[in-house]
Amino acid sequence: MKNNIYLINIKKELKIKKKISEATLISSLDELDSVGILTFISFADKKYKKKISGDDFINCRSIGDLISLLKK
Amino acid sequence: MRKIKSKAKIVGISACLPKHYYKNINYPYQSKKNLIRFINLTGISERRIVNNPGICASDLAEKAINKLVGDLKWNKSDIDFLIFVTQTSDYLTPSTSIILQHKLKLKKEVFAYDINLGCSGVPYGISTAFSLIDNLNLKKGILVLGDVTSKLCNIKDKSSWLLFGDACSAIAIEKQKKTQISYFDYYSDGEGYKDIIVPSHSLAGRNPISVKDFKNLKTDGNIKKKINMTLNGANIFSFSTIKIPENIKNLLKFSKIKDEKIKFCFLHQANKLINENIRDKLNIKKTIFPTSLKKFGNTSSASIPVTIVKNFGGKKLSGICLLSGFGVGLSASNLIYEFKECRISKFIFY
Repeated sequence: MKNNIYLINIKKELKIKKKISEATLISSLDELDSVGILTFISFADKKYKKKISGDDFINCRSIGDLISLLKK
Repeated sequence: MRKIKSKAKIVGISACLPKHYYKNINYPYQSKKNLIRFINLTGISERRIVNNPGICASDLAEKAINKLVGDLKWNKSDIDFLIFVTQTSDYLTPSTSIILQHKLKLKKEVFAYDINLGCSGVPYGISTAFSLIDNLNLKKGILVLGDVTSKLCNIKDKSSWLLFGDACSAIAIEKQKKTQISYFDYYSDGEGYKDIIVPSHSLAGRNPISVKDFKNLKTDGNIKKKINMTLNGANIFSFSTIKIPENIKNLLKFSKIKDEKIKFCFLHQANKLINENIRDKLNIKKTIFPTSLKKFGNTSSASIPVTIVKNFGGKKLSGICLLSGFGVGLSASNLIYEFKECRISKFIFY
C-alpha cells in the first residue's frame, strides 16, 4: 500500500482538519492528544491488525513514523 | 484459571455516589471541539465527584453498606467480615476497613482488612470473600469497593481528570447450604506498574514525598504534580484490548459455558473506546454489555457494581454473568458467576 493511502486514512480516522504530510510533526496536531493516541492505536488494530503499544507511540515524532508503525 | 466450588452466595449489591456532578463539556482547559470529541470517544459526559476535601472513600462506603444492610434486613451483629478494596484509603495506615468497623458499630470480632487494588478489584474481592466463607466458616460479610480517584487527579491534566468519577459499592455475601460453581482467572503484570501510578505519596514510599512534589510539572502536554495520578493511556489501551479478550475467551473455554448462556457481561468501565474494542473481540451478543460510563465515568473498583445498580437498581438480578476487572497494576481478573435473586439496591447519593 502506498504511503499516501495511509496518510488519507490517518487524516480521516483522526478527523485532522489541516493538510498533513509524512513530515508533519505529531506535536503540531491538536487531534493527536491523549484521546487521539488511543483512537490511532484502535484504528491500527481494527484496520491493519497491528498491535501498537504506548511505548511504540512515544518513539514517533512525525506522521511518517506513524505510517512506519502501520507498515511494520 | 480456577473452578471454585463454594457455599458463598452474592445476595445484594448497593452503591453510593457523591451528590456533586461535573459536566465534562464545562472543562475550562480544553477547547469545546476537543471536549466534544473526547466525550464521543470515551462515552463520558459527566462524573460524580466529591467536592468537599473532608469526604473520603470510607464515607461513601459507610453509606453504601448501611443501605445494603437495611435493604437486606441484616442484623449488623451477624456480619463476620468486612473487606475494603480501595486505593484511596483514609490513611496510609491503619486499614480503613477497621475504622469502618467502629463507624458501622460492627462486632469487634469481625474479620476486617483492606485490599489495595483498583479496577480489577471486583473478581479478586469476591474470590477472597468466597474463600473466607469456605475456609474460615464465616457466615455473612460485606465486600466494599471504591475510590475517590478524582482527588488524585490534577484538574489541569486532561488525560486523567475527565475520566474518573468517585463511588463506593457494597456487595453482601453469605453462606448458603448448596454448593455453587464459579470460574475465576487472575492476571498480574508488574512490568506495567508505571502505566497508572501516583509516584509520590508518603515518606515510606519509593519516592519519599517532599515539598517539590507539590509543584505543577508539565509533561506530555499535561500539567500535574508528583502526588497526582499519571496515566499512560496508550499502554493501558493495548493491555486492555489485547490481554482481556484473550483471558475472557480462555476462561469461557475452560468453564465449558457456551457464549449464549451468558446473560450479562459486566466489564470494568474504563472508557467507551476500550470497552467497545474488548466487546467487539468477543463472540458475545453486543446487547448484553450494560454500561454506566455516560453519567459516572470510570469509577475504579466500584465500576462493575455501579453498572449493575444503574441497570438493575430496585430489582433482582439472576443468571450467569461475566464480571471482568482490569487496569492499574497492571492487574486483571475475570469471574463467571451465576446470580440467583440477588437484590440490587437503588443508588444513594451523598
